[in-house]
Amino acid sequence: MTVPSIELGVVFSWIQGLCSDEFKDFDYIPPQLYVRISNRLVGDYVMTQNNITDDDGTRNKPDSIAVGDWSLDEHMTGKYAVPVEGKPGEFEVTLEGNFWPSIAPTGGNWYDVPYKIMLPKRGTGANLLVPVALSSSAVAFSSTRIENM
Amino acid sequence: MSVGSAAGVAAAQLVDGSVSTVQDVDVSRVQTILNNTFQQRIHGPPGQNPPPKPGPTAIYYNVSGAGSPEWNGHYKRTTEQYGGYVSESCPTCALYSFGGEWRFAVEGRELFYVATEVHTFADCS
Repeated sequence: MTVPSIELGVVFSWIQGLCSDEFKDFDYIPPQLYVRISNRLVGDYVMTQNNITDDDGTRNKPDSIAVGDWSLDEHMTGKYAVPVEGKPGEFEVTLEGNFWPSIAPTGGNWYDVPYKIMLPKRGTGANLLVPVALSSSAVAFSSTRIENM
Repeated sequence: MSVGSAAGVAAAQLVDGSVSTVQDVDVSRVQTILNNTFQQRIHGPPGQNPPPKPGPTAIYYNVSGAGSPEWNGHYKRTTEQYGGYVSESCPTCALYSFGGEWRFAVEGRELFYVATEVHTFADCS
């Protein structure tokens, strides 16, 4: 397919080039394109699965600054073989560590995201807000990571 | 951009000198700006009635009349694929309910069909 030259001109006019002070060792391109989950902030408040699923009644938060609705979404960590019931000698593959339940069994798929999830512990950072690597447990982050984008 | 926009709005209080630490930010002011200026939703639905509790979970479903024949057949309940059902003839084909809608999908690859209407399935065993 050929793109009309006038369209190419419009497209290239948008391209400002790669950032000149980032990833210099890799021709200014990030060596890793996608990191799903990594190190996170540990604040005075750490959001957990319970805070999302309302198991402890805290899904509503007075200092909420956003609403999350993505499922708890953890990818599998491995596969292993398990015997097939009633079929001696036969095995099937089972996934381990994989889950994607709705965030709340009742009351709708939502939860409040509190302001304090972005805060370092008091005394450790007065001018730092962390809106991506939030202060949350691994399971909670499998949902809150979607709200950071 | 929900959490990120909140961070920006909160940081403005440090920039204008009204607070000296992020821990002292007036969150109610942040909420007002997010609501009024950016129309950002900051709370879940208050007082929403919970939906009816789900009935007994079926052990399997038999699918027939699908647009593509490979999606027909016996789907057995599994706890491994989104708590849904997996086709016995196609181990990667899954049937599951998400947000009240029934879906056919190959896990991690493609969503093939989302039901346009929500039906209550009869209990089966």
